[in-house]
Amino acid sequence: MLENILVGAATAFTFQNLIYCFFGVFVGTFIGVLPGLGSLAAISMLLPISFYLDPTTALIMLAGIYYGGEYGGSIASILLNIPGTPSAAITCLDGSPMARQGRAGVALFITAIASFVGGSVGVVALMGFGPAIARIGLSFGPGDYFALMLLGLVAAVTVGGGSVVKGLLMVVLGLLLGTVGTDVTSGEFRYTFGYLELRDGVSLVALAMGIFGIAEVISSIKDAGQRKIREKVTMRSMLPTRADMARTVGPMARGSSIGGFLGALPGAGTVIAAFLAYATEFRLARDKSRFGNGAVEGVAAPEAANNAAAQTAFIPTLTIGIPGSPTMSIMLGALMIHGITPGPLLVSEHPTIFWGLIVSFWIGNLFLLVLNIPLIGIWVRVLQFPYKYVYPVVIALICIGVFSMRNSVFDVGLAVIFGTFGYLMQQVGYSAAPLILGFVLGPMLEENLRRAMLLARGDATRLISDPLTGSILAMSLLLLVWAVFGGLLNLMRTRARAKLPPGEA
Amino acid sequence: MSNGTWNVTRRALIATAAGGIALCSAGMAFAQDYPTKPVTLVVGFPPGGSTDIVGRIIADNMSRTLGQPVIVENRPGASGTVGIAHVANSAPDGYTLGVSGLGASILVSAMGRDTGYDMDSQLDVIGVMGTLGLVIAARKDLEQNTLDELFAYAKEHPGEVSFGTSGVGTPGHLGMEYLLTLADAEMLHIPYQGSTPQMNDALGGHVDLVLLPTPEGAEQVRGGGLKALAVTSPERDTLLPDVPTVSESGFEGYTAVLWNLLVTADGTPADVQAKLSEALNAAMESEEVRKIYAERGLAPTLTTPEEATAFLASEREKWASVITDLGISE
Amino acid sequence: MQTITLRFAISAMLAAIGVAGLVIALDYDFGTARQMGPGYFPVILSILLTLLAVSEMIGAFLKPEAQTIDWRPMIAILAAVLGFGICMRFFGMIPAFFAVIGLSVLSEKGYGFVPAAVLATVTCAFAWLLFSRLLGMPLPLIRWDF
Repeated sequence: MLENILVGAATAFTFQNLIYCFFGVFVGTFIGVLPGLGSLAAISMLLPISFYLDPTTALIMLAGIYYGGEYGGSIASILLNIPGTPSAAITCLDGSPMARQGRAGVALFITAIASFVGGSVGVVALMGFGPAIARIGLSFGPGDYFALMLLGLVAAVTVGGGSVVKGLLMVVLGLLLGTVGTDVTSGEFRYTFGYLELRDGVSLVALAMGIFGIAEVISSIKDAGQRKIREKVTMRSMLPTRADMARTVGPMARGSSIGGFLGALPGAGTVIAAFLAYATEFRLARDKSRFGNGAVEGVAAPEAANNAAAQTAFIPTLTIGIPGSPTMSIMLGALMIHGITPGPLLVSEHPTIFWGLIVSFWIGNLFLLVLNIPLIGIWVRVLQFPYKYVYPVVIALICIGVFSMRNSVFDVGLAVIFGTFGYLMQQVGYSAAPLILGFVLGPMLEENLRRAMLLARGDATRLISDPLTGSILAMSLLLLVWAVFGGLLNLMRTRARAKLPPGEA
Repeated sequence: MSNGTWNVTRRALIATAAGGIALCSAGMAFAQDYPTKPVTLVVGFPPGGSTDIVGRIIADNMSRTLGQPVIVENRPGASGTVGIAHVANSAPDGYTLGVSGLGASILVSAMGRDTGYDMDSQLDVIGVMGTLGLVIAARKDLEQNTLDELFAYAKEHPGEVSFGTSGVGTPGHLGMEYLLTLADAEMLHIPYQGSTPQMNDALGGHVDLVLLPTPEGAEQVRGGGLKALAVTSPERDTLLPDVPTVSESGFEGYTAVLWNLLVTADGTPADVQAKLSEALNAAMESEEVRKIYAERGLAPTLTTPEEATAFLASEREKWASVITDLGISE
Repeated sequence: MQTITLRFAISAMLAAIGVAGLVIALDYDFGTARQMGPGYFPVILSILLTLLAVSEMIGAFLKPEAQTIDWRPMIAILAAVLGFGICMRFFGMIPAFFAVIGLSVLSEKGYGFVPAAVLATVTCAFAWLLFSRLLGMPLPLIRWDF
């Protein structure tokens, strides 16, 4: 083990690799902050560079952009209430209220720390238990994936203080949008209306930027005039209080574990990790009303989770050659350009690539921390900039981000439709986050359920009797019962209190 | 290709002239000067996938022969048809090329689905960019070790063996269904979205068989997670020299290979096409491409535009009849 | 008392989407619970969406709350995004950026020509530097493509 780490360190600590690592995390953070532009776009664009680089160096740089982007995405969520990347959508829920309360610096500081903690946990998992976690991942069959997605959905519906009907409605709408495109199981086109562009489904970026980005800009312009946040940027205002820190320790630890585990499952991804981490904190919290109103836990947990997931996503990618997301496919593409086919033997046959990359992850996370703490002061000043100069640029960036995803004008058109929709929905109190989760989970939920039923030859009892599937399904049921019961109890308490005449309470 | 040569040349002249002016190049500009500005190579799949890698390797090499950068542009969607539709509707000046695979060239339209273009009348084929075989791999604890044993078992237990593919109507699916009709056996098809999730389920033992592109499959076989039963290429694959071909295993003449064609919009001047064909073949013969191709399990191909067009026709005939026989077209 | 509130209208729109989704999905093979067809999920989801939307409609009808739409910024911003798409298709990146910024500033009265022009120029220069130079995206700066 130590030997391996030394091999990795020898690779990662060369001047060239350190420079590329820094370049990667720097570009990643920056791209992540820009709304609409995710690390996926940046990595796709920079893939050709890897032709002229050593494969390890190329991967170090591309990976840096990826996890740098995960970090940067939350900065936009906090400052503009527009997620820079889809997995930062959940960070809007509490990050943005914190900024409105003049605690943007604190939110950013906690984000930086949580990301670093999450990233480090992810790296340790990758280093110590990579192959073991990969094996657990393999034992997840279609039924288990279905159960897991269901758990994610139940978590989404039971989260948040708003109306349950509204939350459920958004999830269902997201699920329905997720069915657009080619049905994997039958090959039939659904809701494509004859458009070639819809056969692969709706673009996630067009959807997220429409309902979050465009909608948010439209509704913020109104109060742009009054919105003059004259926050004094002192070091003190940026630092979390002792109480803040105490509150975030648990969420960070839980978020890192949830993210670290889910990241390692191919296909599950950072979005689900962030949502589940948030849902867990919401469930565990005594005072649920703080959530959605600037609770530090609501920032710390998802941030730790998505950064941990960003690291452990490399486990299936590198140890068994199964990329879990489009971004991971590009990472493997960088190897394939050099004639290296990823597979289970990569770690033993190319130890310098694997261990060099892992050590670089940790260096990169350190870079991110060192880079971002001083930058907080600068980011917070973005809020002091008059909004009238900010929003046209934000809209322009959203446009180019949506377009560049698939070089598609069609997707820009979709963003207009989703923007209209998103704005109207927002005006009457619908939250966009459950819709995004429904959209991301839906296709996986359906595909895996149908595949599981095919494999079980139509026998649902075989599905439930599987120990893993069964236990995850039981967890979802438990969560649902807990949420409903808890809700009823709350309702009864308030009713009871209301019945008591004043003075007797 | 031959229709309206004069007209086409004039259009190309205007296009190249415009390009020349833009670059402030002095003197007259002819199609012979092609290319005078960067060439775009459209790939209908996202970056990092195997089609994209082929496109990038060839583009990089062709840049050097042509003396202008060949830039890969990803326009992913609908089995590559979104990208090829873009090429079909672009100016026929040789500055927009496309990588057209089996799906975009044949399968989608053969299944009776709209592609947004007509392969024969709207596109010209420059050459074949290499071929790639598939490997039929089984989960490691499957009792059967050869195709023979497998089909014998499947005949007695229809629908019991499951096979995963990267989707309905993909080469793996059609190739396997075709093989099953030849063997007169029945298995359960489990479609996946792309080739990686099925790999996961085969490694975890959730499905019995998978059809994978040879390089990825060979790595899993070497790593001991899967076992190879046969390869679908006409000859044994260099990556899996011990694995018999399907043809050897009692289905003589059976092949199912993936390939990509270099295409351009119909009406591209003949001399431009000739130049592109030369550059493509030079890439195929280069040391560097051969090396990466060998490592990636790709067989390089040397073709003239005519040969490539004939290849497309013969492949279409074969796959169209498979699709008709299986009755899966709309 | 205003009975047709924004909330009611939007719930009605959602219900309409649900019904439309259901009508379209009825064309897809529904299958059985054991062997679900491509229509299984869409049908169930459409029905669920319609029911939820109808219950929201009732809620909105019983308890009307006044919500408003800011028409001006909404139209300006949506036009800006649309303008970007159209310009990107036909004229290239630079016109597209001028279009999106030029149209989005219309969401406020009296934005002023000079700040808008400066903003557009700066954004263009920044975009060129980032996308064309650094990331090497194949984006045409200016073109004429019909």
